[in-house]
Amino acid sequence: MSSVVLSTTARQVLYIVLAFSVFLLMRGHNEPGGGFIGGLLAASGIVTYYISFGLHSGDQAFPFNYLNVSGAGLLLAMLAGIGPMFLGYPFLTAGFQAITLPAVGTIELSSVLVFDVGVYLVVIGTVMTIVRVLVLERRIAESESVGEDGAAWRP
Amino acid sequence: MSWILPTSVLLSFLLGLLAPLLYRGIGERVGRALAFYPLGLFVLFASLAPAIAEGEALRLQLPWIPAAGIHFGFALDGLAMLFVLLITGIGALVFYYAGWYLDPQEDQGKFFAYLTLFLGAMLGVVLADNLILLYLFWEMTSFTSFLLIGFWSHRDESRYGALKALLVTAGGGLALLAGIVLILVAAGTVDISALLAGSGALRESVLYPAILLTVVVGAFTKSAQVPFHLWLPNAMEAPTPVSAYLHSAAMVKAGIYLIARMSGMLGDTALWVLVVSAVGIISLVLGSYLALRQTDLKAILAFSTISQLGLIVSLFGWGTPLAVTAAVFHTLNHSVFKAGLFMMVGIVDHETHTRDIRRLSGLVRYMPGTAAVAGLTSLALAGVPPFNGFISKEMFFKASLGVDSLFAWAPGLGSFLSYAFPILAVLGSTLTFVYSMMIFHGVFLKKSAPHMLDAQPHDPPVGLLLSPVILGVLALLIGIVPGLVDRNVVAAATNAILGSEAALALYLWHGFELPLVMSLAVIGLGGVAYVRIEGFRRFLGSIPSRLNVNAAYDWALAALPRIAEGVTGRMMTGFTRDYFVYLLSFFVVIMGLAAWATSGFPLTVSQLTFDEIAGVELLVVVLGIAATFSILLFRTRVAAVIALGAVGMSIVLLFILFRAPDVALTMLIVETVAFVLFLMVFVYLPRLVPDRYQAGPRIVNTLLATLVGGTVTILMLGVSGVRTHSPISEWLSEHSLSLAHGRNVVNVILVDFRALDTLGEIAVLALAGMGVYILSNLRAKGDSSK
Repeated sequence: MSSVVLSTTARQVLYIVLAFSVFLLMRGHNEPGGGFIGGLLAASGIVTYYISFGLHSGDQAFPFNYLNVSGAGLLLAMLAGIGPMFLGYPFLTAGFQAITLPAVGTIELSSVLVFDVGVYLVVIGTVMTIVRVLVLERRIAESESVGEDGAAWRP
Repeated sequence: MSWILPTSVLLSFLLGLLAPLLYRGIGERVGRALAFYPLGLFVLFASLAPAIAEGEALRLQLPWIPAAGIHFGFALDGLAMLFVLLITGIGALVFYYAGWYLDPQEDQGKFFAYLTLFLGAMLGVVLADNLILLYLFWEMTSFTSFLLIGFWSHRDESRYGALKALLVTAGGGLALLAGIVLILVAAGTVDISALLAGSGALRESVLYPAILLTVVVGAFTKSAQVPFHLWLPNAMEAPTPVSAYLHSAAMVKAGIYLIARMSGMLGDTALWVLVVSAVGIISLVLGSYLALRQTDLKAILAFSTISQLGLIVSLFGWGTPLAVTAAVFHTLNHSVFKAGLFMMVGIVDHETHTRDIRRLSGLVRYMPGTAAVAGLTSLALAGVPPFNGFISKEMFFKASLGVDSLFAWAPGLGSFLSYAFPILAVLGSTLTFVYSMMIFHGVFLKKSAPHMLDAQPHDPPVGLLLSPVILGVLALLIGIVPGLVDRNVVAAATNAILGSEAALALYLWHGFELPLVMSLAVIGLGGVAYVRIEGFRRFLGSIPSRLNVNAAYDWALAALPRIAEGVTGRMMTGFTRDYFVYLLSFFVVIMGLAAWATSGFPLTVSQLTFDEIAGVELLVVVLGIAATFSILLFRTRVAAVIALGAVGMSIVLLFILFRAPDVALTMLIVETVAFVLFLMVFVYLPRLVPDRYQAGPRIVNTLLATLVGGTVTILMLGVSGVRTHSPISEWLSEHSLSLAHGRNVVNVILVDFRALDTLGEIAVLALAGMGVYILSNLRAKGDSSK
């Protein structure tokens, strides 16, 4: 699946999509967005990159074990829940702190952002795990099925 | 003093866990050393017995799950005292005996760990004052019994016997648990003392028959009563000290304890008297009959235990003061002589390497000490005066004579049973007499066949003989001087069961009455039958045994996996379309049942106004419906998937029109990613051949699709028509900013208000990813079977 247009634009598109996904993640508390949408968007950007450059180059550009990404996200979400318990609050209690930064203005930091980042990472990790597995499966199938009732495999 | 109740239980568990270490330290002396622990408990509890007999029960209650009314409640009354003394007293003798009996090469650390854990669990059962706590210890005795029966785990028979015992007794335990839950529902408490104090509540409850049956099934499985007796003979694969302890003196007596305990709450009703006494008397007769057909000494004793426990159970069924006194006394007597008999058989097995009565005879010349033990204990079992078994058996005969007054609700049945019970009692006791003579006279005294053993046997070391000698002497001593145990043990337990000072005094000589005639008849008939033993056994062998619960057990054990495999094979076809049919049919059926059970809901369509619908909304909906139908028309998969995408996109458009940008955005990306994933798996899918489905499945599918669509439509209409509360979305919108500092309600719900749900969802998501990864790796390695 090599296309000049796709491979030229994919890199630029990826940057924009990833930046936008982080933007969606950060503003999710007050405007449309959030960890789930952000994660899906980032995953679709990464998939676009894989489609353009193939599995090998994709793995080189994103040298993660995506299962670990899922695990890290889950851990982060758990920590966001357990953290308040050390301060005597129930599991998953949210905390808020408004801080004023020069030149930016007052922004409110919330502990739910940590939870949302966890969701973001789990979504990316899971989608990418499944996509990579399916690509690898197809490779195995293609290498095996040639000549062996090939008609059954053709769409 | 009440602290000793939980302490004795917990200390046993602790000691059980330490036993392997102790074994490493002092080697094969571990059993003899550990025997001092139950001995100490026995002395300690025995010193409390006079006070307990005065009616001063010890109680202790620690909170555990107060919300459910479950406490670490312990109580020691007269009934518990009887069993504590049996468990610790016989326990000490068994520990000492086992220390001599076991081969030095055996893993004695493991053995005594199991045995001490069992001792603790057993103490827990009788000391628990809360039924849930009792159940916990009850299952622990089943479990430790499983480990002990299977102690020689390299033998197939041991494993078979252990599994059978576990399945039967733990299955009965589940019935007991159901009964306990029903008691909680009916009486509102599971505290035994509270239940005994307000005992009328349970008997008047509509749940009473269910409570009674589930509880007695639990007790009958534990006490190996017909038809749950099948596990006990196979449990004889255990090392003999285990059989002496668990399967005669202690664990099977837990069922007796439960019946005794429950008779205060559930007893004295028509159903109780009928069920409990009938099962008991049938077990008595059938057990002694089956014992006569055995040739293995331990098998004879196993069936004898079934039969003797049946005698006790039937006495508790009758429940008169005389019957309860006799039951309590026989519980004590049976533990004493049966543990002694098992130890004696263990010695014979140990010295001659066989337990087959056809090969054993005239042992008295070589093993006089063992023969003396056999004489004392088997004469007590046979009910010969002046042994302890004679007194309790005579009281049993006397109790069996007055049963017609218990059946006032059915005089015809009562007068029939007032003949049937005494006749069956004499019959069972006669058979008992015969096999007792087979054990004592046949093995030790008879001088018939030439020596059939490989080597000349001789008496064992004094250490091995000590425990059974003590038990044998005790059987005689209690018979001659029943006052030894009368006031402080038997009367105390009887009064605790009956709830009043109603226990009868024990006498060796009851006067010349009908029960004495029955006792003499037993000895006379049994003697004649024993003299003609060959013919008698031939006669018994000719009776066909049609009702074979063992065959049923084996069949069920083999059939269960076969049936499960058949069902699974039929259900799991490997075709997603079949799974969808199951899922959706279930949905329609469950919704239909719910609608039928709640007699539906009003379908008001009057509040639906169509003029609020904008033209563009209508257009999107029409497009979506058209796209849905077009899926059916396409002949290639790609076209069908694109049409499905069009359906998704029309829903995205609807979300945008209804100002739900979050949902629309999510759906848009989900549609995109799903399409990419579809392209990935595309290559595996077989060619789409619409004609391959035959008319039948197509009609079913069409019908199901229509039903699902119709159900959802009606549900949606109904939901909007029967709203009784203000929707939660209003509350969430109001409080999103004030409580969670967020203006995006959707996201606040996801990460704050319902964050726990989200945590669960992302955990499932991550697990699904992991599952796909693992499945693929298995396939790549070629491990996949299908």
